[in-house]
Amino acid sequence: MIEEAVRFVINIPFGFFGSEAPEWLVFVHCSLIYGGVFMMAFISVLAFGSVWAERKISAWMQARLGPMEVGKYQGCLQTIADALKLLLKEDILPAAADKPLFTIAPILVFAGSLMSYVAIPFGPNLKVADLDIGVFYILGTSAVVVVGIIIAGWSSYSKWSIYGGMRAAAQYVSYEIPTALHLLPVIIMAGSLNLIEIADEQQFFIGPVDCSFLTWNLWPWINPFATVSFIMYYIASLAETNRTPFDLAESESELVAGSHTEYSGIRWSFFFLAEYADMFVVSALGTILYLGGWHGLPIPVIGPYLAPFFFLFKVLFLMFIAIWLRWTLPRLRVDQLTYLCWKVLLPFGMVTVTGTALWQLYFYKTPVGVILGTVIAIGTIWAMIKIYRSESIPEKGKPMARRDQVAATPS
Amino acid sequence: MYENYAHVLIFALVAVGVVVAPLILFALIRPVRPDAEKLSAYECGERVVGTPWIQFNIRYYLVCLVFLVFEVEILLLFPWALVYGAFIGGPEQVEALAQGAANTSEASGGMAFVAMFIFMVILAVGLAYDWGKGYLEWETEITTSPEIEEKEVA
Repeated sequence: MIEEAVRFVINIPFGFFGSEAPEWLVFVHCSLIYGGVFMMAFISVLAFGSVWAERKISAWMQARLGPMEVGKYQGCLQTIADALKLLLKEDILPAAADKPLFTIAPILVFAGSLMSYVAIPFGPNLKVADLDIGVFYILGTSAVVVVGIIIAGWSSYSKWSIYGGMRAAAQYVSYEIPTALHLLPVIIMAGSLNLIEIADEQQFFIGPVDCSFLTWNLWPWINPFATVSFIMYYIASLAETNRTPFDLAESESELVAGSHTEYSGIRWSFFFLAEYADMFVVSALGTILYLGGWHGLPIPVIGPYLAPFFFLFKVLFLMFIAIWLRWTLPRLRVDQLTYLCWKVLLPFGMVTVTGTALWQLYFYKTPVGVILGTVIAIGTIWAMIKIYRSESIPEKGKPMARRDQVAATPS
Repeated sequence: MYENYAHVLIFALVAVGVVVAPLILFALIRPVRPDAEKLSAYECGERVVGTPWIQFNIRYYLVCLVFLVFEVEILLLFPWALVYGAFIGGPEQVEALAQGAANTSEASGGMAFVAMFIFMVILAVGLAYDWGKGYLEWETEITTSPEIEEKEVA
């Protein structure tokens, strides 16, 4: 439909000369409309919405109100007011900064994270580009962001910036390995790097009803190793997007603002928005690979039409957990950060990849596998509850205080 | 198929345009009143001493090296993961197995698994070496003077 409309409009000036518009011109205009208009509109709504949501959720979790003034409902236009302020703010280029690099850095960071969106499918037909190497492409574009952050840290000529930039580089670079490794089980299971094929591989219909929520890659009866991988992918993706508890690179109490200390106004807002854009990308990747993408809404007739919204719901839910964790967990130390990456996530990744290969060979979607996976999952949950309930978890040689004991202690 | 990559190229140009356009457009209405204080590097209100381009802890370099090794090795696992399903018989084979058919392609699937397993063992040995040598530790030597320790004890 869009293609025909575009062809009609482009043909108007060509019609004066009695010729037809070339096919490539129509293609470029269609692509500009899909990517430049629809996708960019979605990204701006998403960015403004998620910044506002983060502020409101943070506020509610701390029993505050958050933004209340701008806009009729709960300060919902606060982010737009902030954006206008940032656009009109003076643009400061520090005298000592390396000016070409200082200018390039925010462009690299924001454009790099925007470029991931071109490969994300929102539904079976709702996508800009259907890339055969979708997973690879998204991993690649997220690496561009690291380059931008290092350049920002180095070119600012400020101590805070360079410390933040170096920390960010070490962190992003380390966590890229577990991220990639914990995506591998799904690629083994789907045999494809194409995001649409990976999502479709998880569909399961009983008659006309979409029961895909039973066969998402995440579930232990499909593959218990993938369940572990999903949790670890989520942890690694938090580090990849620089979210708390992994926000060492911009820990405001020690490094002012990390690599973008010297940036202000519009240039700073690019770094800020890139964080939210990235958050959506990693959540979308997790949703497609482990939560079945847009599949799994068990409504017979209108289900397929609601599928993109179901996909968005899942992605936003993962983003909500990231915001939730921000107010739950304290920031890690740098040695804990490297410990978690190299000594927990990486060995577990090797085990899950090898285990998935074995599982695929013998148990994948077989009755025995379903039973075995369920038993393993129930056993693990039971053991975790058992450990949690047991009163003597040795922590530095002392028994851990129980919750009620802590509460009963007079202050 | 290749038109998808044309989409990517056009989208990349759009993405750069979206970032550059407000930088240029709003430069027309932004105030520009630079002064020496404003343009100096942020140092919590103090005068900047020394250069920030200092020598860095060697740990960052080690992390980078370890990353390079593992990233290349994981890159080699991706093609294997892609064709592994075909080796064990693909979705059709899985369906047939679910319906109780005999596993005919187990031999080739087992071969594919063994090939990857050997590679994974090499990877694990590399990790164990790094671990043993202490390249994965982030040195945090907390030096406390005896007086502070005495205070804490008391």
